[in-house]
Amino acid sequence: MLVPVGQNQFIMRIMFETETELEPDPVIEAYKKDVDRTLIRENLKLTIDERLRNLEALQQFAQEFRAAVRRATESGN
Amino acid sequence: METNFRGLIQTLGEASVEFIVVGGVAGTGHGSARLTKDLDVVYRRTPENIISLVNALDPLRPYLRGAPPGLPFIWSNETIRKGLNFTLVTSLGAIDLLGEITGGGRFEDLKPHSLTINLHGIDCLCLGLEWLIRVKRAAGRPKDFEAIAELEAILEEKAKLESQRAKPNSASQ
Repeated sequence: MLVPVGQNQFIMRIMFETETELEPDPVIEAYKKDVDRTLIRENLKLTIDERLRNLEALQQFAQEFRAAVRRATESGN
Repeated sequence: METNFRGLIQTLGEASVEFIVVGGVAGTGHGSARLTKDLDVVYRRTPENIISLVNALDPLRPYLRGAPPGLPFIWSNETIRKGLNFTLVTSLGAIDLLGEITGGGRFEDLKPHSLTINLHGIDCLCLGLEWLIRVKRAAGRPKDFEAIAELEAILEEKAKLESQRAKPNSASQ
């Protein structure tokens, strides 16, 4: 099917993104400089089950911490 | 409320629902240290699977997340058939049921790019790291930039680990 050049370029872009290796994205590369790789290396030593347990524990802690901060704020501390 | 991620996955797995874990929990599975609040799954939209999905979650009283109580939301096969993506809260926490995701497509499109993981004897599919990055990139949301950067860093760290593991073999050859 004949499509306008602009649209054709868009389609080619999608095919490139999904069928070949990931091309570096300059925006993501900029963000990558701030990634804490020590946390990643520690996580990679764990099993998937252990990683999910940690996520649940972190979620529980975050909720408890938020509640504590809210109580403190409300009591004027 | 906190989400019991493993409980939700176990509920779906025990009911033989066909689904793929995507989003933040899939990122955690691959090694991400980021906090996520809900379980995102892409479910297969066959009539049989929709019945399994509805039956599996029914005891958990699914309801539209963030909606005021009392809305006429009926959890049924028909509701799932007529919709596509559902943002729900259940008695085990928050779950997003996705019939399709941007940049990834449907269950059938994503399955070849997923890996089987075992949680407490339950096998389930988790989207592979490269495809997780691809779909997050395709979504194009600025809030995902940090998450994508971390996932790409994980990909690099895994490649480094594999390269280190391969070195002793190549040295002995």
